[in-house]
Amino acid sequence: MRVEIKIIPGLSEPYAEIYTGELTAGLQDAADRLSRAESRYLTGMKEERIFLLDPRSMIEITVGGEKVMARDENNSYELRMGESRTRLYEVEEFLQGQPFVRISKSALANVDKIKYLEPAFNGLMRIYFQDGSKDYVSRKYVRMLKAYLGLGGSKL
Amino acid sequence: MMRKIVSMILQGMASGSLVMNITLVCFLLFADESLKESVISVDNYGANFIFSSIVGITFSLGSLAYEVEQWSFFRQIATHIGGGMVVMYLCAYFAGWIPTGLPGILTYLVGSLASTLVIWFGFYLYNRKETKLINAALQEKAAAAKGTRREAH
Repeated sequence: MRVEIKIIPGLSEPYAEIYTGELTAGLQDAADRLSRAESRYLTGMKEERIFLLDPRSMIEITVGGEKVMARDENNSYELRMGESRTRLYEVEEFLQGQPFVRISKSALANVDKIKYLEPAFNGLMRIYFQDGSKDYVSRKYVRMLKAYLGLGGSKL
Repeated sequence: MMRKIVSMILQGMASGSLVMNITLVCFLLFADESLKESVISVDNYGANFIFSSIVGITFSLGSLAYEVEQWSFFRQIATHIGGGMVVMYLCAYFAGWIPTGLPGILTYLVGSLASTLVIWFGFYLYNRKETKLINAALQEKAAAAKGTRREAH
């Protein structure tokens, strides 16, 4: 791919545009990496201690009761995004440009942590993550996952 | 949501009509003459089309049950397949698809249940194809990420 860098004095925030005839998984990955160049961290609580969490190491973010939980391979953290109750859609917005995709009404999955998918008899797909955990993708959200991977699905 | 429901109704009509036409072709090829005359005629084509569309629409809209995440798998499948079968038998009764006599009724019940399961399995195969596509894209993405990392070093 031909790459050009233009230096514009006074530009406060760098941005990138990619021109392509077709969105491929490789390009999507490159775009994800560019958008993560200035990484943003999530704030999570565990046993009354606050942790800064790198979203790239998180496997899945789910709603459990009133709480939004993020989990990596070993731990689970309650996410905090302000004083009031954290909502999943707020986390989803915060993670724009990161490899997270909505897989159900109550879960976001890190696409980079998905090992494979398997069809289920109830019309859903089951996701197997690299750490051995699993979850379902609702039929409704398969299109979003496909769109993210450049397979022509659509955003809802 | 409204757009989705309209699209599901049209898909249901299309699949209902497709199943009806395949069934009619089977009758043309394999049924004896008296049965052909009673089933395939210009007079009852319209009724067959309407009733088969209703069945298709019911099964299509019934699949929304799988999107009600708080329902158990059993409740989802009972709503989709069970609801669809009830509407199908009602349509079959009014459209005159059910033969008279116990052997005819039993043949119809077993045949319709078997064809419902075959169609359901068809959707499973479609789902499996979609899964394979997604898995291939995931692998491609992982390989591209590895390549990018290697170039960076």
